[in-house]
Amino acid sequence: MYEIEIITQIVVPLPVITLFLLLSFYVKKFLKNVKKNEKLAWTLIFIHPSAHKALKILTLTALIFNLGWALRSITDFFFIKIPFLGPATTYLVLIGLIYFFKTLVKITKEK
Amino acid sequence: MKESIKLFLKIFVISSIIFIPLEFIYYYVQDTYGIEASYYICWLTEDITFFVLGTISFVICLNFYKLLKAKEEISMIGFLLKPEEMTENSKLIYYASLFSGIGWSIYLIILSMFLDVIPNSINKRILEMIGDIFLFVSIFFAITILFTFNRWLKRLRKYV
Repeated sequence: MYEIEIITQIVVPLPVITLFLLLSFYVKKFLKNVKKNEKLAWTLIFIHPSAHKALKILTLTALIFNLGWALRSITDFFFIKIPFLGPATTYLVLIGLIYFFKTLVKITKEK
Repeated sequence: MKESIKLFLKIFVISSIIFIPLEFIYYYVQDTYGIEASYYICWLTEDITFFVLGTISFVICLNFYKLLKAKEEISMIGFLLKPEEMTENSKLIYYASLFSGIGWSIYLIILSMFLDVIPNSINKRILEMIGDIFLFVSIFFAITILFTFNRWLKRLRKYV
């Protein structure tokens, strides 16, 4: 039992660290693209249909993330353990953020 | 740049305001009523915190999504009219993700360093303190999401 707990404590943060670092990489890249020509970059984002889609996906993942954490507290309180509910929703919202910024990088890179 | 750092510090202070009483209650109960009681209190206080944060963020995100879905043609204008604010928000997400990534890495490194000590329970407080990093970073990230979506929602509402 103790070993499982330790393994969980090590295995769960590994993807989170990778996703956080990947996210900071894409945001930095996006900020770099925006800095080159701010007006053009934002106009491109505005007219591109995939920007709206990516924002929608991001909001949905954020919704699931928040619902997951709220649900986790309720289930925990009633002594029902749902393993990986918290981490899984965290992975999801991070993937949503990465997808959003990746789309913005793609749009601003086009021109 | 300054605005995003200000926001980062604001979230940091809010996270600390939530985090410090949680820690204080936990260690106080542990010293006064023993380890069993402290685990129960820790469970209760942390669950309530995450439930409140999760529910508030859920409501904000739900409203944002509804607005986004109903006003497809106008929703991106909200961002376009204030591109500098969106840039600041992107910077905030950049700093927050870097901070969280570093925080989780430190948590993992310290945990790995003390792996041989933990099974013998030589110092149980070490394990608890490592867990504190995890808790603080989680609260910080949750509040960042809450803050970002709240700002986006406010901006969208203004233009719809």
